Amino acid sequence: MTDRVALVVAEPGSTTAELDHALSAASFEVRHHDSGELMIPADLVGAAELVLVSASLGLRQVALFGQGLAAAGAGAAVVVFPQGDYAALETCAQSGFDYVTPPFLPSLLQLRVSSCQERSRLTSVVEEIAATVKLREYERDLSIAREIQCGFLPDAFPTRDGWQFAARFRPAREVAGDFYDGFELVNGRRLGFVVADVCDKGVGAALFMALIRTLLRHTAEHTGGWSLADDQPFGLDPASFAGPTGMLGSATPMLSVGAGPLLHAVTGTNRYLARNHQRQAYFATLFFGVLDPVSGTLIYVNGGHNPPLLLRAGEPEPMLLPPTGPAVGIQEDSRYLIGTAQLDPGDALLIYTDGVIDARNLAGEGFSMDRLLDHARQPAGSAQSLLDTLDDRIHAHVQAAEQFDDITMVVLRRADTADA
Amino acid sequence: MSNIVAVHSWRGGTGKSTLVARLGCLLAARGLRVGLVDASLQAPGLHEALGLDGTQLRSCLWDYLSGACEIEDTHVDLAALMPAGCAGRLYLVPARTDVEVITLSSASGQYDAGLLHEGFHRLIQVLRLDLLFIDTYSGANHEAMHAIASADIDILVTRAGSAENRSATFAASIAAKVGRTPPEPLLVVNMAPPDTDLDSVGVLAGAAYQRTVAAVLPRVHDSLDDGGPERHVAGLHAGLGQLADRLLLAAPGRAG
Repeated sequence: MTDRVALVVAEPGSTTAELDHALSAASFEVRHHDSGELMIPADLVGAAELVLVSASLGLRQVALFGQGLAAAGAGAAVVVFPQGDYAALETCAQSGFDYVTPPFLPSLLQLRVSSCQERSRLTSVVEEIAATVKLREYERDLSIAREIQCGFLPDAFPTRDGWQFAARFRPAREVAGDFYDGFELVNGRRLGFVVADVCDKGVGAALFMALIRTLLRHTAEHTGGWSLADDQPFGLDPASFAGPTGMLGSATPMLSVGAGPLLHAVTGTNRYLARNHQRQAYFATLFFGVLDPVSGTLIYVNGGHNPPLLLRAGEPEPMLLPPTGPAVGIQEDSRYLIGTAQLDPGDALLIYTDGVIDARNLAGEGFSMDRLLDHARQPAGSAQSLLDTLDDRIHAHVQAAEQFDDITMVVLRRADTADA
Repeated sequence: MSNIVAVHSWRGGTGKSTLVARLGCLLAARGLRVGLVDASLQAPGLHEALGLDGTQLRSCLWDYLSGACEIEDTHVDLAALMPAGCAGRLYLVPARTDVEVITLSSASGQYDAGLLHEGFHRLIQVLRLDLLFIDTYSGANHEAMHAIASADIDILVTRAGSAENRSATFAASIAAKVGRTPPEPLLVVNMAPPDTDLDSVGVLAGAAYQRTVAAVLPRVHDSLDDGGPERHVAGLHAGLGQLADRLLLAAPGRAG
């Protein structure tokens, strides 16, 4: 029979026969400690389940014993008992110590011991709960920030016959700095699409995301024309100028419908951020495309963003749309050029953020551009299925590893004439 | 192919609208399909030069620019001005119809500039035009500059002896900004005083503006019919004919 050990610390020279007897009857092995010695030996501390200290030793002494036990990491319940001085017992009890009084009946003693132990357990549970509540509050703040952020994402993309527009948005554990947007321009003649990545993550990045998205959309929607008299830091990118003849005849993107809103939005946002938020040193990479759904012509500004992939029907190799200017928010007078691309029936444009390329598996290996290009070479179905299969592939790579960065993907696809 | 002719001037009163109206009639009478756009949103006047009653106009360029309709919905067919049996056609897109409220909103520049360019080309396509003339308000205003930006031929109209901005590179710099080859620059010296030596006026003006002089036109009375002394009217017609010939030569090609 493994006895539970009860340690009795009594007044020097006194006996605690009644108490000892009751303890034994309650299946305790009784040990004594000389109260003259402040330090209770470690082996006794470790073994004792219950420590009974005489109130007559005085509150201070009792407290010292209690502290000593706590410091030694003992799980024992500390209980005071009287040795004739009930005033002393009162003092200890008022100070919060549990106590037992004669007669020391074994059953009563047992009950009292149980309740002392339970109280001690309850105290540690309460401490755990307090820590959890703090954690929950933090998580609640994060989820509020994420809700706000979701409010800045479009409920749905605009729709057009012959086109599929789809998006996938997976923020990392913390609040995202990525965003995407899609809206009509110039009385619905054009559609604007934005994918952007604010540097850093967390609540600060999310707030900047909201600011940038608002500036871009508001400026684009409310810009009239740009004027040839403007001395703007924007122009035409001769390298990407491989546009169609289409409606414009001589095909110059600067004269396209939507060029004004596009350029004003990007340069205006860049200037505002660089001027007013220098101290915070936030910046964002962005891709802003303006699509003519009738002709399939896309004019765009790529501000330091990952080059979107243009997947052309019948051509195995995807085409990259490289940057036409720097990230926004860094320098006030940054220069942005317009690039052009053409989406014919069956073609698709895949716009994505860093999070796709950087998605890491447990070995720390990133998804990488190679895998993305490889996936893009496979024949794709609808915009939604292209996103689904790419997402599956990313998941297959990452598996159990924690998501490190926000993942955002947008697909614009022009339906094939053969599509159902 | 696009055959857009921008007609502009630095100063007012150089007779642009009348010139555009006369050229349009002349070329249409020769069998061409001609479009005329009044891009003078601040001071519409082309319809008057064509003898139209402003109150009769139902639709205008501004309706298209503000998103109310497509540009081809705004044109007026001027068949009534054509000789009977003529194969050519003449169409007008007036600038504004709501002259009463013209002062309430400054329309100039208050729209996506791409709409102008796209609209010009759409008009050419839908109406199968051989030539499209853009009449503008004087000076370096928004619509004039965008007309030049779109143009294949740029006619600067000036008055004889006028001392005004003579930038030789103006049109070329606009074209460079938008990444196009510059329009062919022509000069028309208009409203030359009576009994002027038209040839020497032309030589002087050409040197001053560093442009090819396409025509020197004598001043006659404003209306198309009542011209004044015979020889002036004859001179005008000859000059206009010369100009029309030149435009036909300079234009890249005719629509099918």
